[in-house]
Amino acid sequence: MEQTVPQAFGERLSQAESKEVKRPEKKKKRPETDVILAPEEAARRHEEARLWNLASGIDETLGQRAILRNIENITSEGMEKGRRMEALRDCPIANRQEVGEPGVNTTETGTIETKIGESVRVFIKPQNGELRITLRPDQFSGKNRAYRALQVIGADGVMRTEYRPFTGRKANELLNYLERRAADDQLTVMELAAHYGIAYEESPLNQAEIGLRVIDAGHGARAEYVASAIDRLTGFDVIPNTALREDKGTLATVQESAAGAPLTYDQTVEFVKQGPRHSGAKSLMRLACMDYLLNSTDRHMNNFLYDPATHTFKGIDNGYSNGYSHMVDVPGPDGRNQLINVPLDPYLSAPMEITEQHDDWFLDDEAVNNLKNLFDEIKNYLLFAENKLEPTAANKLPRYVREGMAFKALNDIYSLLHERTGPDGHIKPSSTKIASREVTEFLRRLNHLIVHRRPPKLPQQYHSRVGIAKALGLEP
Amino acid sequence: MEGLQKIYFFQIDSAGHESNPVEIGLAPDGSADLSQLPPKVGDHLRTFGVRNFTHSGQVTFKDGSYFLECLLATDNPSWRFRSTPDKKS
Repeated sequence: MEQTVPQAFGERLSQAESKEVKRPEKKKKRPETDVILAPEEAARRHEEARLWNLASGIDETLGQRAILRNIENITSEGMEKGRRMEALRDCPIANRQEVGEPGVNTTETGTIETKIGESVRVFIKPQNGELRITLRPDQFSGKNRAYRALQVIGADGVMRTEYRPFTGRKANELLNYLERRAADDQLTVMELAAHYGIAYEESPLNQAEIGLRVIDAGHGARAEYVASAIDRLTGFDVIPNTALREDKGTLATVQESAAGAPLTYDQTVEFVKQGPRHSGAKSLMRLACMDYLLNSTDRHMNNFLYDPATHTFKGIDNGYSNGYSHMVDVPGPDGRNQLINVPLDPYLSAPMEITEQHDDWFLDDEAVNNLKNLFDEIKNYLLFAENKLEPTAANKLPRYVREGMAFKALNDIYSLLHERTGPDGHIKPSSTKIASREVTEFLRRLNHLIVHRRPPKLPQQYHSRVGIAKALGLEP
Repeated sequence: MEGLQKIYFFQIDSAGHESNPVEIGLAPDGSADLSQLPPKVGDHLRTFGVRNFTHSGQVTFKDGSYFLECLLATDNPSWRFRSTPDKKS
């Protein structure tokens, strides 16, 4: 039976008071105060310290919840995950190497040693490595050109912006892209404001520097971390463990290296042909559902890895997930139009595209139960917090439900994604509204998966399919 | 001829070590020559291409120099591309 998600669920979540709130005591990172900094630099460090604290709290809560949920059956797998997350967040990184092309690809690789002496390969991506593009007049011709805006930390520890022009075909592609975006931008800003119930002037998009998606600067690292946090919350195990931490004077994600490689032609043909009967079908459907939950807009064929030894998938490069969203009219399963929430940039998920080739391919029972339990945890916590449960029922609630661990984690996850600090040093109320709305929509998507056990099949304009059947030569 | 003429591919093993570099150059028709790549890698790139610079579509090996540029911007635990043949690990 379909469970309803109240219209203002997000607002209720943010307003409800927990009766037994227990925040884990943890050493807080404070911005440096022993040097005099320019206001922008001070604000940047303050914001990064705030995000670091939030992420640490989320990790603690998710870890505690995992332990309490398995109190009679603490699995070695669960313990290992906790140990790995702690190591990713806190342990020094050794053997660092730049990956890929210098100046183009800012990822580094390294190793981390856990408390029990295991060596873990990791990828480190700094927040300031995100590709931001901007239009500026060329200093000689005066004509607008596309520039890459690079955030560089100088020897004095202060972050500055450098602008490097694009050349060749990239420049033409970007100019065309920017011109198209400029035409749509006004509409996007108005639509965002209306959708989130905020003033036009409060719209979060930064018009001066444009990303490759309708998301604002600094989103990439947050989204990478959040993808992993949501994976831990759902227990799907399709996103590599990812921590958010300070690295070389800025925030960075540190992600465990995943086994496997992108699907070959033959492997993809087998998945398309065998569908739910393939040995990797369970994991691929979990990744498809995760892409739906995360509003993934960049899960192309190079962005997920298959390990044939374990028949499992891992989704990498999640920086373009969980952007802003809007409501659209699409045909429902019964043929009637329904209003649903989709990301502003269209979904792009090869796993969603592959799994929708078979009508009998569904999410596995264990995963559906995880989602049901998560939904019920949050629902029961709200009822408990609002004194709407009978005393006998309230007393039977496990501690992790009474303390609202899942609810707190989910709220903090979306706060980390969308809340922004204003020039006065306080969180902008408009950004809190955005975070609350996105929590509600996440829960609606969760509900959809519980009921239908697979992502919706969306029209092409809302799911920009890669064209797998055509690439494989399987189109009639 | 404008644009990149060649880049280098490195396979990564489970310990993070890079293989010896494999050159990817341009064929006479201007397309990227994937013939020297390990079969599974060449197979994937030949079939699915690589994401373009604005993440709005795929670029194929037939796009030659631009395809090489887009490969340089990718990262993957199993593969790596650089414009120089020097191994890093």
